[in-house]
Amino acid sequence: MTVDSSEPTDFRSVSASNVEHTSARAATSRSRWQVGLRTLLLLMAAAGVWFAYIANRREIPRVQSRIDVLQPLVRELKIDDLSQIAVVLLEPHWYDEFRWRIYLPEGKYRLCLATRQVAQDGFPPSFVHRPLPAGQHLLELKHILKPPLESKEGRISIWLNNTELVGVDEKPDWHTHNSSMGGSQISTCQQFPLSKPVTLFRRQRATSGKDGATYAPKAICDGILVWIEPLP
Amino acid sequence: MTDDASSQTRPFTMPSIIDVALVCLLIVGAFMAWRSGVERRQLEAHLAHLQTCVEEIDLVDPTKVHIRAIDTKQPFHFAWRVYLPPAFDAKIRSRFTLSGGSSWSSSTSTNAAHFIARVRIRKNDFGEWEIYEAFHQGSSRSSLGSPKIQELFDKYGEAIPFEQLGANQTEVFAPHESRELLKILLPMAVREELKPTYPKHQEARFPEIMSISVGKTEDDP
Repeated sequence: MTVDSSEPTDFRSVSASNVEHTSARAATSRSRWQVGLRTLLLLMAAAGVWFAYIANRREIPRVQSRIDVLQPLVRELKIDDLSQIAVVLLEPHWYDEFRWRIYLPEGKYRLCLATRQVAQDGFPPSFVHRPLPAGQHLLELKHILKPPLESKEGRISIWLNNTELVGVDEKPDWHTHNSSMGGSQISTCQQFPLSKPVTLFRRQRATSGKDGATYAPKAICDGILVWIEPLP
Repeated sequence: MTDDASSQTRPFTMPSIIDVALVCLLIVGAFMAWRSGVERRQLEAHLAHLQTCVEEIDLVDPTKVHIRAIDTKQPFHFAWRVYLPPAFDAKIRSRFTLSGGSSWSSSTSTNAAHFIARVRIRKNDFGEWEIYEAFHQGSSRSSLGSPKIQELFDKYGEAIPFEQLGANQTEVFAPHESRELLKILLPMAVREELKPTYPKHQEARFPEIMSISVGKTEDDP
């Protein structure tokens, strides 16, 4: 490259001319794998977001598997549908302890308790009941024997937020047999539509034969049945 | 002059097909990364919440039993986070060393099991001390036994010492081994006094009142 000394030397034009000349030469000698700065930046940005996406997709199953392990242990009320009843049985801290955390959507409900004529399914004709307000509550089933133990009298009751809501005093004939079948119908959190009653607890007491032995419960017998009934 | 003008009027060159494709990839990738990021953050927040409710145990070896004590902050209320490997014979033996007698239960699950084991001692409505044990697939309630033990709990209550497995770190052991889950010990004040009356065949276990072990021991049926 030569510059005519008779013409005024313009550094900028020489420099620009040099650059133009060089880039033209570079363009002719550019390999097909050579890319511009803009392409390079776009490539890096695209690779970055896709790496982030892959890292998230790889991590999500690992977090989910840890949640799957812990979720059943925590037993918390998880309400996915606000228009449905939600119930979870809380972790028992003592033998035969039954506590449920419940959610009731706006509406009218009653809590029902039966201790006689309990069948393997369905609901008996006679039972006690109390209104149950909408919202979140803690329900607890208590079966307390009255002293002295030999009297075999006791009270079966349902407590709403640590206050007795409804209860039944049972006579000695009800307490004759210690063995029974059944228990809470719900363990981990479940949701139920308002169209039918939600059974919390169903237990049938064993019966004894003439030989004194204990037999499996009859089709209809004494027991404990607790359910929530949505009212129209 | 022409070069100068040219360089000033070319601040932007036409994007190539590659650039256009990369921009598309960038937009789609950014959207996917954002969506997966939101999902991941939600799950991590949920996990963090669960971790505040129940302790998570780090599985060193999934073929071994892992037990970590949970602080219940209640007297005579003991709990553990337990991991059992598949096909583990979960044999629980309660030994009432001081009063004599023992009980055991066994359950086997083909799959690995995560659960909370619980032992609780408290008075019933009739003033008798009872013990509640819940492990894997079953639970039981029984009297603490002899009047001697009832008296000890009445008199010393929370002063009765105990040793709880996994209280300081996660206990990891092979399925063929066994461990003492809980040991209830005689209070220091009565050890010398009760030593002469301690069951002779259980001398090696002095000053134990009772213990609960997990895993098969040599003297198990």
